[in-house]
Amino acid sequence: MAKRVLVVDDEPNIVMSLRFLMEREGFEVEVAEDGGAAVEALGRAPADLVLLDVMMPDCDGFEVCRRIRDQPGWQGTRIIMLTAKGRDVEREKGMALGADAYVTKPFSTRDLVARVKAMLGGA
Amino acid sequence: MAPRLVHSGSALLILVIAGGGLVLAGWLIEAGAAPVPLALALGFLLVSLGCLGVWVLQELAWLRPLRTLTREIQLQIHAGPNRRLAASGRHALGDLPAALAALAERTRELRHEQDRALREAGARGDEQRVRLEAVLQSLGDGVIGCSADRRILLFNDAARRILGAPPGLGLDRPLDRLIASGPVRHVQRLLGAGDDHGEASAVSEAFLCTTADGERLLRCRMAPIRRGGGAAGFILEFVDATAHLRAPAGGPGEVARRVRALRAPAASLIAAAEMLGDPDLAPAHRHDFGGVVEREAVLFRARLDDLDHALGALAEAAWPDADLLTSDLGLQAGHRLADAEPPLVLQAIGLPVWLRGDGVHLAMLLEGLVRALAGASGVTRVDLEAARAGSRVRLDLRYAGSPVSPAVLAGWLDRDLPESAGLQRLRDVLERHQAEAWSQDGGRPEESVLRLLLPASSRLATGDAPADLPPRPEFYDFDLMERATATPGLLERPLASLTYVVFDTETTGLDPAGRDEIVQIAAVRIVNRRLLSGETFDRLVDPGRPIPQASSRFHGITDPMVRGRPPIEIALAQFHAFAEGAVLVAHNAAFDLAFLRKAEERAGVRFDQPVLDTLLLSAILHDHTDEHGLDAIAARFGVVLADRHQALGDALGTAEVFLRMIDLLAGRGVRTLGDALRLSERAVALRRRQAEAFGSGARRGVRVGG
Repeated sequence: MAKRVLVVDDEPNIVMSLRFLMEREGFEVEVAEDGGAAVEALGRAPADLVLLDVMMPDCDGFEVCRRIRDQPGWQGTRIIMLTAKGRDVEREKGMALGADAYVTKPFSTRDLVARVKAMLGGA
Repeated sequence: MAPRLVHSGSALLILVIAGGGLVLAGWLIEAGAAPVPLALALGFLLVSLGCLGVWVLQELAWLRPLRTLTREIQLQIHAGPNRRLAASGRHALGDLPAALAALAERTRELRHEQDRALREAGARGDEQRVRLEAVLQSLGDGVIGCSADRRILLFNDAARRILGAPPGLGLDRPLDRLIASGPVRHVQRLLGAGDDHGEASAVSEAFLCTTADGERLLRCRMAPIRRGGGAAGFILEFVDATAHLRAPAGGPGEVARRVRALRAPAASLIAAAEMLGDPDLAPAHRHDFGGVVEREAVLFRARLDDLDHALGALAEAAWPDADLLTSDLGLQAGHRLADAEPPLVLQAIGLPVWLRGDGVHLAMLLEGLVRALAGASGVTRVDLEAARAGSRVRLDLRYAGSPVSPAVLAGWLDRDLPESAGLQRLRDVLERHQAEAWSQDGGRPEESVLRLLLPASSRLATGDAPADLPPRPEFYDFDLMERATATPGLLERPLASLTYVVFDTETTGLDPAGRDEIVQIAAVRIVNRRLLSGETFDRLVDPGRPIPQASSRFHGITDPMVRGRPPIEIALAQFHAFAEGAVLVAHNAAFDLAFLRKAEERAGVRFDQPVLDTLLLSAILHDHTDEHGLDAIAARFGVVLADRHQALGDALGTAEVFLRMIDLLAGRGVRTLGDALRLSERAVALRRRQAEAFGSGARRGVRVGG
């Protein structure tokens, strides 16, 4: 069965590329436009990996990250945070709150795919 | 004297005339020359005439001149300096009017001299004032001088112009009506507190504040006016920073925001471009990604322009950044929390770290976060702990409770800053320092931290003393250590439960038995295993003799630095009060103690509390090595020492090392103070034997080491 990837970002143009990229690698992709929708989507069907943008209105990526880590049933979910802050300070914050990896925008799609595949054991 | 003479003289005359009249009347009666009534009447007339004559004489010769003289003196007192005492006409007052006239003349001369001196001094003062005014008026920066209670003593035209010529700008008017008082009071306090660190600051670091109406943003510096050791007021110098910092693109935070905004279209562009590079891409997808590239490229260019604009504004604006000690930051925020209800305590613990930033705003940020923590979870005590992490400083607000969720913290950061000081919200302070904040588990049971990641200062690297400094001799001496008259029960108390004062001294040289003296003494307190880096003691001391250059090179303290500082008698009495009731701890304690003991009698104090020596404890704990210098021990414990060879820096380092030793000692079964003291004695005996075996025992108690 295909691994499930949840893409959480509020900018449709990057979502379009991410969805295409993940589907091309054979993953099942779902999209959430904000943090609240992401938590709801995970409640309906758990994901193997979440591509999580940090900067979103209301419920930001850090909050989603914490909520995922607070749920005993979702501990297996891997989280890659996508951020527009190119600073180590935010990386330390993301890792402290439970992210598995931290990718700064803009990123190379090839590298991102490689990281996702490494985390999901090749799919 | 004169009136009494006049009176007794005239009384005598009256008696003589009255007697003459009576004798005449008696003689007329006896001689039968006149009938008795006539004789009596004649006698009476004669007596009356005599009296009248005497009265007239007295009036003309004495009383009238005296009255005249009195009026003259009264005139002299109230008249101008040029009036001379008028001489009276005929009188029987002898030299009195002349003497009084001479006195008046002398007084007149003195008055002239005094007036002339006053005029000259006034002219000099005027000249200085005119010069000062000219300087002040020529300054482009606003200058306002204030008394300690912030009433305006002087101001210049630039101040009036920058503040927009407000009606409240006038002499003896309150500054608080013109400029937001919060930041000003904050910096006033900081400058006043300068003595805590031995050095009174001459001028503050630059800080930001707004006008009282919030219309303008000022970039200020403050210089205290000191009189007799106290702060009599201050001079505030300021420029209008409104244009720089409030422009649509202002401040490092704004630049960071715009770089971030640029990354989103860049990510979309690159991702779409890479998709387009896929040769197997379906035509429909190719069209879609082509559209993405077009749209995002437009966005990218617009945001690039924004960034350029923000960078230009940033280059013009000078942001008031300074090197700050985290313990000082804790103190400042603590002051700001003092009026909270219920009281909130923010306590700096552990080794302080130098960070770089804007102290006023960072203190406000800490204050705001502690208040929010207290409001949300009811905590009233928060510890402030700092650690260096690469080019950043990790500043932890440590509290009892669970971590704060990012969403809740984001809400707190959206709160307004307590006072208008250039930035609006707590979040802006983070942005401005390119910092992050989050909450996580505190690594100890029931404890969490609210962690700030802030820019570190480059001080650590530059503040280090040269490495080729001569080592201090290692001292050990039973007598020095054995004076303790421990209060009953103290020896049985666990080490972890005691209060310690960890101290260090800097001296003119290495010979306490000779002429060498203390030039600096510093200490820090440990209570309940917490190093209270906010409760420190630090004094420069005038040693009463020149400091040799070799010693100055060692600790950086020179003759001019100690000139005018209190002598050891005063500093030692103050230190004694600071150390009261605490166990003393020092590295190579006997060396420092020898200097303390030397001055005890003069200071009228006696240090009779127990003393622990980290050097001796290290010799027991780490008997696998001979390296027991402070640097070596700190390295073994992973403690980073800052401000080495400055008394306070060394005291803090020793304290941090000592705290680690308490745990290690407990592991070896050394739990109470008594255990530790007995162990120390064994170490002294052992090291003395070793020293004697190496033949250097002739000079009792001295061996070069650590």
